[in-house]
Amino acid sequence: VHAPTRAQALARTRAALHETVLLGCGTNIAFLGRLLMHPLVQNGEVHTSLIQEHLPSLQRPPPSPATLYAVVAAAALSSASVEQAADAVPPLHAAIGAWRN
Amino acid sequence: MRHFVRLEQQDFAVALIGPRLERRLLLDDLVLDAELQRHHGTQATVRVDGVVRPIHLAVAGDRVLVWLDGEVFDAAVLEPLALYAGMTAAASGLEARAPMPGCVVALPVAVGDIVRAGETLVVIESMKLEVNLRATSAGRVVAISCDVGRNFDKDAVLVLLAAHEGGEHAATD
Repeated sequence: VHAPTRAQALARTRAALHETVLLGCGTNIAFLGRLLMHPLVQNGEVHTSLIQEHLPSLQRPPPSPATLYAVVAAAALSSASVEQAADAVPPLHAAIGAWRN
Repeated sequence: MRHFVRLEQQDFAVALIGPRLERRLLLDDLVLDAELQRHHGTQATVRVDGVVRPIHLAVAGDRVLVWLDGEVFDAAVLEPLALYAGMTAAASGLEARAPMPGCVVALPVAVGDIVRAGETLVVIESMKLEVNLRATSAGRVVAISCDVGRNFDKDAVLVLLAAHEGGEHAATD
C-alpha cells in the first residue's frame, strides 16, 4: 500500500490486513495487525528485537464473552446436526422451551 | 439433547429450543436470540441478542472455522453421543487400543466370544516386536475393526468389548 504519510500508510496496511481472510490454515495476519498498532511501530521506533521484547503485549488478548458467544452461535447455527436435533422435538414439547426429559 | 461446541479449550453446551419459527439458542444456561445468515461465499452475519456482527464461516465436517473481527476461531461441534461414547469405552477398559502404529499378526477372538480379563484379544507387531493386547476386564467381543496382516495407526481401537455379566464365571469353566 502507499500513502502520503507514515501514519496513513500504517492505517491502510492495517485495514488491508483486517480485510484479509484465510480460513483452514494458521496465519500470522492478526499478529501482524497487532504489531502495526503497537505504539513503538506507530512512532517508528523499530529495532530488530522489538517483537522478542514486547511479545506479551503482542499476544492475542483473551476473547470477550460476547465474542465467544457469537462464535459459538455461528458454529451451532451452521451445524445441520444441531438443527436436526431441534427438528426431532415434537412441537408441543418445543413450546415448553428448554425442558427435556 | 445438547450438542457441544468446543472452542478455546472450553466446551459450550448448545441446543436450539422453541417452535421452528421462533428458535432460540440455549447456550449453557443462557437463552439467546441468535440468528445466522449466510451470504456470498464464506461471508455471513451472526446476530446475538440484537448485536449483528459480520463474520466469515467455513464448515468442514464437525469443524467450523469462524473469522470475527480480524481473528480466526477454530470451533468443533460435537455430538453428545460421540462425546460420551469416547469417554465410557476408554474409561472402563473395554477396548484394545493400539499403543503404537503397527500390523496385526493374529486375532485369536471372534465377534460374540466371551473373554476373561487377561485373555489375549489381538497380537500385533510394532517396531519388530510382537505384543499381545489383553483384555483388562471380562466382556463379550462386539466389534473387531482390524484384520490379520492389516496395518493400523496409533490409538486405533482394534477390538471393542461389551461388559458381560458371566465374564468372570466363564473364566472358571
